[in-house]
Amino acid sequence: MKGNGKLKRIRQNELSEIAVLTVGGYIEFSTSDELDEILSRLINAGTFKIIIDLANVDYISSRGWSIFLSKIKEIRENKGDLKLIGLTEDVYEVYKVLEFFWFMKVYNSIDEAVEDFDHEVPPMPESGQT
Amino acid sequence: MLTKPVNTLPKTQKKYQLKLPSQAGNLSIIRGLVTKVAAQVGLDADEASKIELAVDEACTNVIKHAYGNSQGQMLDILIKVEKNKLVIIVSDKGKGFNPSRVKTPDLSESIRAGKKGGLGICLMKTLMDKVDFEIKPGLKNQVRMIKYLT
Repeated sequence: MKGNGKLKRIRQNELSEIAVLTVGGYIEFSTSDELDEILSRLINAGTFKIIIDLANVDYISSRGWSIFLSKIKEIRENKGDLKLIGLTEDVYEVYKVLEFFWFMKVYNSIDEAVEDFDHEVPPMPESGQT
Repeated sequence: MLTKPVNTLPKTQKKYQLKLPSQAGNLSIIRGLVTKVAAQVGLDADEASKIELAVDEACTNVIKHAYGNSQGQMLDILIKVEKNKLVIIVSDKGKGFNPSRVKTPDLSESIRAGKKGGLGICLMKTLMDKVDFEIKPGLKNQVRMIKYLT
């Protein structure tokens, strides 16, 4: 693994058309490119229903959050969604500070997130909404 | 004649300074120092984590924007423990920016543009009690972050 070695592992499970990325360690400047690449690969391969398991993530810097931000449009345009599960208290705190709840939902389990793909995705925020 | 009591405590009680090459690989060292100092001044893990993230954002901005990811530059971090606050100053001698032009991020616009970045300063300001900038491009730029100790 490149970076400072703290982004322990990103593995990918395919549940039919849904991909689950399990991420660990720190997602910051030196490690976020890998997450970016994997998400891009999934999208380019036509997988637009993506769950990211953050249970083993200690820390996400703004760079990591902005990767989610940069992918969501293309994912939604292809009738998919990016869903987060397993947020630790610290990570959830930043999720709230950045007001990502406007366009990305968090779930308690993979099953809950998978089930919610059947429902409508949250609307995109209006311009000026942060 | 009564005289006013003199506060014998020096304003800055402790100082920690780190000068490191401006490389992303050094961010973990910086975070480690911040965590230790935060614990020493009695901040809980939650508060420590917020300060750690704010400092990481400031240092990332230096590496990425002030020095444009170029190697061989130095990143300077000064942590001062004062009577009622923790002051963290991140300095560089790179390219500056105009802090007054930094806007609150517009998420919908970032989504539309597929834009990465622009959230760091917003995070720093939210996570710390006070953040200010002194920008002298090429000479010395610094961001000063304060967390009040209650």
